[in-house]
Amino acid sequence: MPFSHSAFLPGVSIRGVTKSFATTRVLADVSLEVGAREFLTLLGPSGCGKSTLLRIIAGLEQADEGSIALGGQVVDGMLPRQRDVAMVFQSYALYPYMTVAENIGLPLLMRRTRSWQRLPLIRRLHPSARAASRTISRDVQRAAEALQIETFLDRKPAQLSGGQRQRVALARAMVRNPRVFLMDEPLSNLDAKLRVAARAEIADLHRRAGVAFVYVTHDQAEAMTMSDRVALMMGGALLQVASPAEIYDRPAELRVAEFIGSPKINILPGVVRSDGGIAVTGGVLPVASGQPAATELSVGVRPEHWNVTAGGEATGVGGTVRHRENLGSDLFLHVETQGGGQSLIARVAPEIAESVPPGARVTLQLRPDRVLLFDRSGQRIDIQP
Amino acid sequence: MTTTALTLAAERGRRRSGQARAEAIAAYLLSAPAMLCLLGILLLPTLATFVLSFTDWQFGAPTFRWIGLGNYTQLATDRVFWRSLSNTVLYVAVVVPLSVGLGLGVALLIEAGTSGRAFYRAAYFLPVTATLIAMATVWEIMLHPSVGLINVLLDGLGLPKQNWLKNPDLALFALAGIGIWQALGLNMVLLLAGLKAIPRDLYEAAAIDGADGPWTRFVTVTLPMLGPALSFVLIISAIRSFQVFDTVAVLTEGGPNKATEVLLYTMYQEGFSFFRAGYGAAITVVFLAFVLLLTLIKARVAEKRVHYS
Repeated sequence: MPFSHSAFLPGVSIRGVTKSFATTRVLADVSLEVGAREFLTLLGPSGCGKSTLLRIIAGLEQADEGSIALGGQVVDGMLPRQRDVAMVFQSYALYPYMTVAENIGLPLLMRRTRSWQRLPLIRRLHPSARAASRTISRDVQRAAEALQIETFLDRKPAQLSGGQRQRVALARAMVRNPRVFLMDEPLSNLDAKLRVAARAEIADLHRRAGVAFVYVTHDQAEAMTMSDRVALMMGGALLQVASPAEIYDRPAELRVAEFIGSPKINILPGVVRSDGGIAVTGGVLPVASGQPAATELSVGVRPEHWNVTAGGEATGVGGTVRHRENLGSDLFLHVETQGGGQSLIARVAPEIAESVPPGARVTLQLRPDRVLLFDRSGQRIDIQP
Repeated sequence: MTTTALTLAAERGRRRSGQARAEAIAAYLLSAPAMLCLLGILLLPTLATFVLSFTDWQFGAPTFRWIGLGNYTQLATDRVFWRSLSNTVLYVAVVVPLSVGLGLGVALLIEAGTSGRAFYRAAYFLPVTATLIAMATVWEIMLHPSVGLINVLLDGLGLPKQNWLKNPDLALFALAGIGIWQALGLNMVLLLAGLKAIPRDLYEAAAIDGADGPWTRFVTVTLPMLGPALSFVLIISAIRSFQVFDTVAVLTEGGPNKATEVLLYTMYQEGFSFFRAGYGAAITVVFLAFVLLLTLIKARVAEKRVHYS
């Protein structure tokens, strides 16, 4: 199982949710189960409906059709506050006129006090209000310590850096132990370095909180590194829901394969030959597709699954190196296929950089078991062993 | 260090200060036109008024005498001036809270509304664009004791008719009503802009955090986020209503029995009806002192405490 012992406990149940804004359909009959302790990422390009789905779970938007249940309880028609969810916004949505401590404490203040207890003088003088504010500041302190922001409690958000604000937003979300965490691209306003550190922190927060996380992002690196499962969305529909490894190695369809992986997967149009191999521009791939001869299909090869040799070989795709990208740990070769003019990307070890200068003739060969085949409708075809 | 090195260093320093001086001269030359305009249009007239308030100059007279604080000591015992000052303060005290409060109410209603927003915005803004002199004539008819719409309505409701502009107890409040009617639109538009600037996700965060009742949401998000706009609107309204003049000049001429005598009207009469320019200038200085005070309050309290970034 991709997630641990309590996988059978329901965290978030999304059943047949449909949503349109005016005449635009944003979500089309989406159903998804998130385990009670699972970290699920809604991944997709902008405009795919992932944020809308998150907002429907939070109760900030109403679904046109379908139902949401949290922890087994149907919450349709409930106000956001009644759903016991916490949300971290892309902009962090901190209250700029409140101190960090007041920001983190607001969800507790609203739940543990009545409105008369929050009136300016009573708040300081009435015993019940003072007792509540003591327990609140104790809990705020605890949440702040967990995120190492306890030294900023008296500051205003404007006095904090982006990374610190993001921690305040996380602290405000975790302070009252909600049953579901909802995160809407919480890292997209951080610079690249901080983002990598924050990924580890959010994953750690998830382990400690032990509740369901639904995390929205368009960044596949965030999805792949933090999630138990990834739900890939496009055009308002779920394309595939699977663990990061599964969605990378066994994408359900061409669009999934093309969205996941960087650099992008190489897609070669091919035709099944009568001898069982597949003819592509620039060569023949020794892959047994199990399809009848002359079937047209798309061959997907991840950049790291090419085996590059200098010069010409009998099998494989021949081409010319057009460009090299040396990232230090990896070297990416942009190869133009022979006669076809298609550009392929191959990952090779940086050590062989010298032997494949731009203009060099190379042959790209592959391991037949690592190739992905898609039929003309884009569905993946299982390769015959 | 050798002498030569010292000389060289000194030479370099001199060259640098010479260059700095040249830059300073260029800066003054470049800003000179703007500075002259500022001086000629804003500062000199204010200074002239200030100087004039220490003289007994009569408008059009060839000579004048310095009388020091004479005008001010006379002001201190002038019952019309004190009446005028207290009327002005009362007028401000009525117009500012009501025009800002109602303006905020209308802005919130328009912002919350789903249809006809543009219409309501335009309708409430109409009095701001109309000339108050012309509108004052309309109000004169509305407030007319026998045929005025307001008295007709009161009568229809079984309430006694009032002689709005001739009753010393009511005249100032009638003018304040017109002042509110006129100021409300501008306040509404400014506050509407302030409301629009509040990020939506703050309301959403508040909804999730549990601050989702209308009142709680208002005091948790709207009011504090509106702080900068609200303080600006308050000060602008105060300064503008301190300048009340048109309605007084057209409708009541300070009457009945000085009940609507206000600072600018008194100043106008002293300066331009009685030609006591020096005395009028002294009233203007008092007026400017109040406006300056309000501006300082804005600079100090408003900008320090209400801005967040």
